[in-house]
Amino acid sequence: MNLGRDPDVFEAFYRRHVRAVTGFVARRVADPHLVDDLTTEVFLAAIEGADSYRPSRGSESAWLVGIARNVLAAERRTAAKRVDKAVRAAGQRSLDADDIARLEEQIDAERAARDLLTALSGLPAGPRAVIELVDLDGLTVTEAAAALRILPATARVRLHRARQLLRRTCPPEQPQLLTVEGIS
Amino acid sequence: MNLTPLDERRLADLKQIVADRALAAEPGRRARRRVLRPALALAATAGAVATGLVAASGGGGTPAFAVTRSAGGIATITITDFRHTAQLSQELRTLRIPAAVLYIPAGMSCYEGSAREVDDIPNGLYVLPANRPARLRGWQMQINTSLLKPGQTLLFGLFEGIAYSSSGTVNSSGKRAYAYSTRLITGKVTACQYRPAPPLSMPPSPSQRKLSLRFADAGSLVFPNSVSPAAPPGK
Repeated sequence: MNLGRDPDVFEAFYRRHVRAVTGFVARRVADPHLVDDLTTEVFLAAIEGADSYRPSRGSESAWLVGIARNVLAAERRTAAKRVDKAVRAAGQRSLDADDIARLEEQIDAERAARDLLTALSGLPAGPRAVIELVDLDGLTVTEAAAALRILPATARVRLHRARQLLRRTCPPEQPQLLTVEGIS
Repeated sequence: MNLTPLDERRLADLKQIVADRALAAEPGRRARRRVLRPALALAATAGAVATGLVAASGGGGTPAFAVTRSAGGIATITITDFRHTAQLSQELRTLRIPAAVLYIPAGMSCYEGSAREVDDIPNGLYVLPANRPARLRGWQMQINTSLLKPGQTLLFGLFEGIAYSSSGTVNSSGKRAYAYSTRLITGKVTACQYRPAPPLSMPPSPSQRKLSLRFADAGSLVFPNSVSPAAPPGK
């Protein structure tokens, strides 16, 4: 993929996916500065890893979601070790009031999804990863499998397992909320 | 799809990184005329040295610099210690290479009141060698002196500052490092008239530190005909 070396190709790619990536991050992070920073990091990682993208292994969306998951996971690991929270704050892009307001709107729009993520936190990691991508981020099972680098059949089994576990732990009306606006 | 202003600003920054990567990947490509930019400076690749930033080095018996000139007029400059610009400029004069090197301390800009910047830079005037030995320390550039017109001088500003990167040559945040800016000028090169550089607007973001070498606390080369001329010292 030329997006790592062709600015025009990258621009088209960015325009196709920036809303979805921002949404993916905003469903998991409630700080507008961090949403901006992690969204930037996802695209930076896509630029750096563009040569590794193989369309035969999945869609652009699935590939990008895989990257976004890694970026979020890295942030969580770093944040856990970060004693001084100001270190992250000091390095952030300067956002004006309008920027923050727009990001906060998006973060607010994803509040229900973040609540659901909290509800899913008790599930085992494997099933939880699949149900997050399918029911929260709107990927198909095949795309989720590609993002997680597992076989589609494995993803289907894990999704089924996650929904079973969820039915046992959540009130009956909860599962119907599990489809929200997804990624591209 | 309409993007927010923030999305557009991020896009512009990221496109610049992609453009830098494309430039760095092009073998033998003429170096950027100006290497320093305010943010998201350079894509961090194994070739980071070739795009303009090198760590503070020298010592250990390594020569601070080396200059050679071929019969065809190709001058090769290698610098491993950026603190000896006066001696390097003298060596360039000795070899009749119309180039000069100026050292600009951290936080300062260099005003060259007697020089005029030339915008029409011929292709191939200076290149970062594509076949540079992988283990060569420092920075290297080749100049095709036959492309310089009478009265023209290739001017290198070597800026001291702080580079942030998690990869590339400068491998730790906040390490003292050097960047260069290359200008083609006419007129006399004099000693820098220093003036405080504009303050750094903001520290690098973690993402900038992750994938790019960002240069902090560095000033610029300023000429009377610069596009955005800064006032000379004392005015």
